[in-house]
Amino acid sequence: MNKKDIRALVVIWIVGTLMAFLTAALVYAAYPGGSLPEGSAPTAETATTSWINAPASPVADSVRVNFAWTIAVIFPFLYAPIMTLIYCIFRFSREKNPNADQFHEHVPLEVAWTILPALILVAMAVPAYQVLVLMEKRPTNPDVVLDITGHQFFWSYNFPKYDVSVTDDGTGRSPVLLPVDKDVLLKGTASQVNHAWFVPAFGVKFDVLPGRTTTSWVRPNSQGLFKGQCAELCGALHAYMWIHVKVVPEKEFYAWLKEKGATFPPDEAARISQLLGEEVEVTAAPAPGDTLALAAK
Amino acid sequence: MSIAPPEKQSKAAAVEVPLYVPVEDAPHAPTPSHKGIMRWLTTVDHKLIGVMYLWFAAFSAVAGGALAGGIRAQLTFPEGITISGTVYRVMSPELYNQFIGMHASFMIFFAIIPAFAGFGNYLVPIMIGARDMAFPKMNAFAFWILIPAAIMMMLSFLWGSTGAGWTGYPPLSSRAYSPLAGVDMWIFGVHLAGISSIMGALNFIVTISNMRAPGMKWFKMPLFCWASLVTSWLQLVATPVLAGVMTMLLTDRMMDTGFFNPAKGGDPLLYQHIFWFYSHPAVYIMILPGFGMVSQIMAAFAGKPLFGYKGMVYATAFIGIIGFLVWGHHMFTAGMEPWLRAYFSFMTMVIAVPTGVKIFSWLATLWGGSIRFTVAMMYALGFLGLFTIGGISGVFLANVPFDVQVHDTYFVVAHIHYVLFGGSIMTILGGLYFWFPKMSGRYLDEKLGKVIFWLIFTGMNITFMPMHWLGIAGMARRIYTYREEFHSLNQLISFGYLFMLAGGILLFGNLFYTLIAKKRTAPNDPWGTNDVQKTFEFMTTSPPPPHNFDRVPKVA
Repeated sequence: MNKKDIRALVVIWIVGTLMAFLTAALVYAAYPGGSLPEGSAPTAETATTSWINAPASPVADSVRVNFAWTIAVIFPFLYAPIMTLIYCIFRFSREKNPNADQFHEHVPLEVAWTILPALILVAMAVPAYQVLVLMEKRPTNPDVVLDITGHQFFWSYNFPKYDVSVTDDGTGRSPVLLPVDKDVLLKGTASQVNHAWFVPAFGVKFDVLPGRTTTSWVRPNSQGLFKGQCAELCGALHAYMWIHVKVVPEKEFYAWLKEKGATFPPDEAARISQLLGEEVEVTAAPAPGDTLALAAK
Repeated sequence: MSIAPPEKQSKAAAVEVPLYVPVEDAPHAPTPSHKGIMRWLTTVDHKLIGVMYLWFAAFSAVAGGALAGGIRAQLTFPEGITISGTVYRVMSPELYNQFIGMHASFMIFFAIIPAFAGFGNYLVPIMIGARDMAFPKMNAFAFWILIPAAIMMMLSFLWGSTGAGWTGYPPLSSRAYSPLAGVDMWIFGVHLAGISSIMGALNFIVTISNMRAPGMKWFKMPLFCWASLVTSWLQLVATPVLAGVMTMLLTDRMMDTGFFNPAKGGDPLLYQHIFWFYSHPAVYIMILPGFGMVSQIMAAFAGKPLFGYKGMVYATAFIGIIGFLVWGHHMFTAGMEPWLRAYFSFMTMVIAVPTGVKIFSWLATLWGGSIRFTVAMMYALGFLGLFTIGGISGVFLANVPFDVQVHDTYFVVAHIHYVLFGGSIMTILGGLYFWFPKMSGRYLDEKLGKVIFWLIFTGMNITFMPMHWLGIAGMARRIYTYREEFHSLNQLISFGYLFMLAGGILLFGNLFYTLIAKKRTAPNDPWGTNDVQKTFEFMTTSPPPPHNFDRVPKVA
């Protein structure tokens, strides 16, 4: 090797880093996120929405941004080693370099390539940790609580506060509705085997297991029909456990609940009646001695 | 203890002294007591056992590859083929689930792990200057128990096999949801394979610790021996844990125990923790020996010593130890406590550092070298590029928010195949071409070998690169069918499989042809690389005599 090779090596690593940042910028520009524009709500027929092409919650959007940053800091270690490899193949063939250098150690270099990647991993980890904290911050006072149950091979949903149960028939014609810009606490369990509730556009995936309740949360900030599927092998028809969630304005959400026979808690009933322009059924107060119902409140 | 070699010994003398004299002149040359097939059935010679391991791995890889072909066929025509109004499906959803579970089980337990056991068995005793492994009979037993293991697993297809994936999560794998005996047979197959692993590991550890030639201190050992040693420690410590969790699953199924049954106070999540406690070290078991082989091959064909030998040893050991502490990164969506997710993410990033050290050291080995592009070297170079890609997708998976999006999607399938195919399999093929002349005395065809390499390399990338995008777009894994918009990429992926199939067929053809039709022409140092390498296997004949060397070699 000579000075030209060392220069080439430095150039490769600089170019590799620049290519990584360029890739990140391209990804960031190609997938700008943000709310879906009015009227472009996905229907059952259009392309799959995901956290990258149509993030529909702050968590999904944070993942999108974090993904671009991760590409920027990690891809230098993809591009530069491969370019170095290709350089070696062309420059250090036996024909071009008949006398091999015999060096086989260089302690300062070895220390550098141990410490520097570690520091760069920290640069990836810190923002990732911040997104993780956001993911873990389940709303303490959720606007909506949705109980999700995985069965072989369909999903059923229950709104405990409104006493409404729906089942997704997998066709997209019976989605579960959620109100836009409201905190939704998701509580999941399974009736038989493990499943996983996965809606890419929400940035939500969590396993549901029998005998346990696992939780997640979402604040959908875009309206539309969002598709997902079961993400834990659960048997023969695992591939058919489709998830359809339709995010709608609050009024439409309560109208749908009412249509499904909901009863509304007394403290909300007045507001919702005014919103819908008609009277709604109020949840009956539990009988004075009904300790179970009282405990459920 | 033994006579240490004189300090100042000229290099020429260390290499020129022949270590093998003709059988007629050697005073105590043993003659094999059996001929033909009985010789193979009764041998305790580590070289013959190694060769049997390699044949076993080769045929298991064919079986695993055929299962992969079935998977790709289904995913090319997910809703079947419609001919004049009738829909002909490729296979039923139940059979598809069995195919994916068995593809993985066969490749992991019967192809990759035995292939490395085969290379280790053949090479490690010779490389350390020993005449055989410490426990030759246990060595034979460890190989032969793989036969009933594979038969058990294959026969499980008759009883519904495992429809719960190679990971076998209950409750899906419990008696209630997998009522047929296939899962029990699969468990027995895993148990027997595990016994093979544990026995082999014991043998390697004792052999390497106690039977090195005089002068071969720890830091003079070839890197492949270090890799085998660390791998053996992983196998010894982790495989019994697999045996434990498999036994618990078996008793849940057969004796109505309640380890993983919530109705009896058990927990399905417990299975996942114990299973992955083994299965994460398992992935290092499936790559570390390959790292060792690539180190030997690269130094040989770059014409210069391996860069940073000590750093490589420490990195290998560090990966082995930390490999026990990261299993939760397979379970980021399973419902673990938040702080636990952060911990496993952190440790997974920690383990990326020594892996990076190894990649840089290989690049530094090539840098300034005098590279000969033999087929073995092409596999080593291909490995370096492809494993880098697989490693980078692994770093992305350590990022929990990203992992939550792509867990159980095709992104993970892309990652595992880049590290297992682009990683492990490429090292195995490189090792095959490199040591085949030593083992058989014949060279595999280099020209055809280059064609095969390019077929496999190209096919592999066509198949597995698009899967990164499919996973990000939201295509889950282990699914029988998928949303319409994923169809064209799936067809492209299946097209790539055909390249790998062609390469595999040509490779097998050349293997049989070479062994049957070609003469033994390989000298002691078939590639002329031992002036740099200085490893003992290239100081004895091709193939070596039963006792490896007449005189225990002197360490340079």
